[in-house]
Amino acid sequence: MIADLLERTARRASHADLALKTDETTTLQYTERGSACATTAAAQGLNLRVVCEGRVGFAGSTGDDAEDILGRAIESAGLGEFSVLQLPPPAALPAVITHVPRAAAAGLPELTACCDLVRDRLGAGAAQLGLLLERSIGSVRVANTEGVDASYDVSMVSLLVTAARVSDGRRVVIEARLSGSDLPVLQDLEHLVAMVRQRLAWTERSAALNAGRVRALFLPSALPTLLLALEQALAGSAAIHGTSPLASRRGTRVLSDLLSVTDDPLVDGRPGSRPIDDEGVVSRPVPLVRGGVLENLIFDLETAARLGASPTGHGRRATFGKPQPACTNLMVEPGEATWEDLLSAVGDGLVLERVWNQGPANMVGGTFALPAVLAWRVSGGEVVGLLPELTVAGNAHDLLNRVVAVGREALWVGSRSAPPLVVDGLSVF
Amino acid sequence: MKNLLADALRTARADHAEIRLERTWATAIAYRGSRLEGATTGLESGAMARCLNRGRGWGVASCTGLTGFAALLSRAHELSLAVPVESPIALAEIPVRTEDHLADLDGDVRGVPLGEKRALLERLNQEILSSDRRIVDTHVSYEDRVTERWFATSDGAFLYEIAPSVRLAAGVLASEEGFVERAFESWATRGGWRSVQSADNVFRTAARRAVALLSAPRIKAGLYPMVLDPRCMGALIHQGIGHLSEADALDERADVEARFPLGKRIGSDLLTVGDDGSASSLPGSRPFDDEGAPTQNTLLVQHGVLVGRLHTRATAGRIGRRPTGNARAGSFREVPEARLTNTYIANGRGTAEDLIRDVRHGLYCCDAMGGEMRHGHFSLRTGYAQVIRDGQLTDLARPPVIMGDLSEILGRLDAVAGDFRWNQQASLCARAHSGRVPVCEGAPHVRLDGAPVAGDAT
Repeated sequence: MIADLLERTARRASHADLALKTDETTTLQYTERGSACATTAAAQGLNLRVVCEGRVGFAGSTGDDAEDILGRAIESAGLGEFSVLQLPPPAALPAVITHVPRAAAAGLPELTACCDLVRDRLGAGAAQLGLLLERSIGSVRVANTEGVDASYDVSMVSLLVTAARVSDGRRVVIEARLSGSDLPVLQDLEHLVAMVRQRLAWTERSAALNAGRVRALFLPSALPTLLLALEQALAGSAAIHGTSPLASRRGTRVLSDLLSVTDDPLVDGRPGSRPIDDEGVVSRPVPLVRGGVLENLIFDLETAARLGASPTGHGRRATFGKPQPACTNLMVEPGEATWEDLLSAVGDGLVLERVWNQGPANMVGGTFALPAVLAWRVSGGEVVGLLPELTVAGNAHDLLNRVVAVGREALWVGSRSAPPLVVDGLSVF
Repeated sequence: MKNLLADALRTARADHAEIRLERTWATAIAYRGSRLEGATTGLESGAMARCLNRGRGWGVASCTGLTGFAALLSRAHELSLAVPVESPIALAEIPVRTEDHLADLDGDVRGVPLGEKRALLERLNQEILSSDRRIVDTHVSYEDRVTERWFATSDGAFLYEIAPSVRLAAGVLASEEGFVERAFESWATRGGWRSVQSADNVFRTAARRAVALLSAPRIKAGLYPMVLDPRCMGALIHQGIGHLSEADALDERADVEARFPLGKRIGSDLLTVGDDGSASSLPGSRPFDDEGAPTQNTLLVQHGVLVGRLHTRATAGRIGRRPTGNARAGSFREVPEARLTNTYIANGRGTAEDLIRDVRHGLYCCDAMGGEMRHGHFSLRTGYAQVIRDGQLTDLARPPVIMGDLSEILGRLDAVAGDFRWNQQASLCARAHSGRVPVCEGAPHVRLDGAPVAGDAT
């Protein structure tokens, strides 16, 4: 279909590019109340962009009708903006693992065994267990009229374990996650089980905290509250709209000097790993912040062209709509602090494990006020008990400037790798 | 299509098998300021098969495209067999029907050129941008859809529906002397191109409000008597009562079920709440749900007491009730769960002025920008407010956040006006496994004799 579509497109449009994605996701879900569900979802999506008479248009389809999608893209171009795009030429793809045959070939018995192992290790105990295991296999093909025609296979396995317990009339839920291109190995599962057990033990005691501004240890599972605002502010689209508080500050300090952040699509086997972006730009690691100093923004082809910058390989396409710049694997560099150092740096404050609906209300500006659904009291440099549900508030950019300690072990949470961070001045009420 | 589905279902080996198909034509146009962000069309189709076997869980298989139904059912059957369950899943009975529901396409949007749709949005956007020098940015969008749905079961049910929908939304940013204010308005209809011609006022309202809020004072935190407009009260009920009534969510939340059992008083005698997926031509309306159950009007709260829940076939079957037609999924990719449709508060008597007249110093709260409900405690960001002094509406105020214990606040409901209306905003309600579904709320003006305000939302 792709060769046919490109041939037809070449006759009616001056330039074009496309991304075809296929995916088959198998999910096993065991709920905390004992019900279960197994699903498989197969999907195909094609996104086409054409330039006709200097104007750009888009169309998407889940079907195979080349003439239909081309006709709709050309109709869209009739109304579109004048193109500023420079489609990339073909180039050699860098090596990166996006697909592990063992994970791709795993059948229901292997996936079920993985869930059974976690359930056996955690046992019934005092908590209700829930498990959600997802295994996706798929492919991405990117092509353009400049000669790019690249493809790669993808496999991804993610596991979410929940352990729920009612304490003082409040339902407390511990969550632990794993994700990667391969099936989780025994060591990863044991680590996950140990983490859930430790948290359940911490719920045995309750604690309180007065409202005010405190030091907080953000665990990696709570860091999206801060990092989402950073990612949005670093996107070329925010720079174009004038909504990014960071875009005009390249070369200056924008975060704590303890922080260095890179976006790396070439790290093996992670959710954002890929050798080429969805617009045909070859992937490379992009240092975003070094020692707190802003080095780069992320661009897709359009935002790069409009801002006179080079594309950074961050174009992401869904089936419908136009490409947008988006991070791949965002990696915050680990520091030196041990777990004891981190708690000592907090002194008297809290450990923040999970925030409800995390992500700032004002996404680019970074302000947030959200329920902290799982947080622990720290006193005298030790975890002393479970806190009631509090509201935590602040500004993500401000708090990322108030980092006082960086953990030495980074943890992957989805497509983000980050160590625990201690920040000063989180508002609690 | 009917024969294809019937042939596929004849091959199904599961105790219960069903298949749901969807084909959608969609248009999306968006402007950011005066710049066209995109004008695109899409065609999406797909199928989901679900199977259930005795002593096993649901097996679900979905794919894009409208072929291979027998293979999809076979896969769903295998998946069901792979997941044993501790408690058997019993599906409540529903009528086995064969029905076609052909909605009036109301000027079929598929026949309207993309350029004409863009011209409409461009005109509405330009009206905002040129209406006041203090308007510095807009984000406006137009979306239309025509969706065909087929649903068939191994019991012999076969249902077909075709329906249009259109959504318009405008976010407006006004700025003056370093102050920035936002206003948002949206409008949705289960109609077609003809309905859109009457939607001009949506965007003008957003523009006027964004500018007016620039000079509006902040509200001090405290307890205020307040009158809520239908949009604000509708949003409060959606968040507060609506989500509390979704039976499958409660199945997973034993603590919430224990705190809010049926029969518990949750508001004053004046409060009666329901959910009506069968109401005519509203964003949440459908003739049948995504399990084939007919939609209906379900009473959730009567005279302040919790009396009903919203059910799927499985949640109803577990407790020997009838399904309520609330099994909804955002698309063929998602599994149906018990979801809200068109949620309402029953009408009272009198007018909004009657309610305002008796307030010496309070707030008239309008619209809503979102809310949260956790552990019986809720917060609601209003869209804007006016101060009430000596029974009269006075200054515009920045949008206050109302927060507090749900039962306590609804217990303070002391008047319900007789001016009920449905809010036709383009609201989508999201849940992790069943996706985003269009919803709608309806309410008259209501009065609370005191509700806590956390200050303004800025």
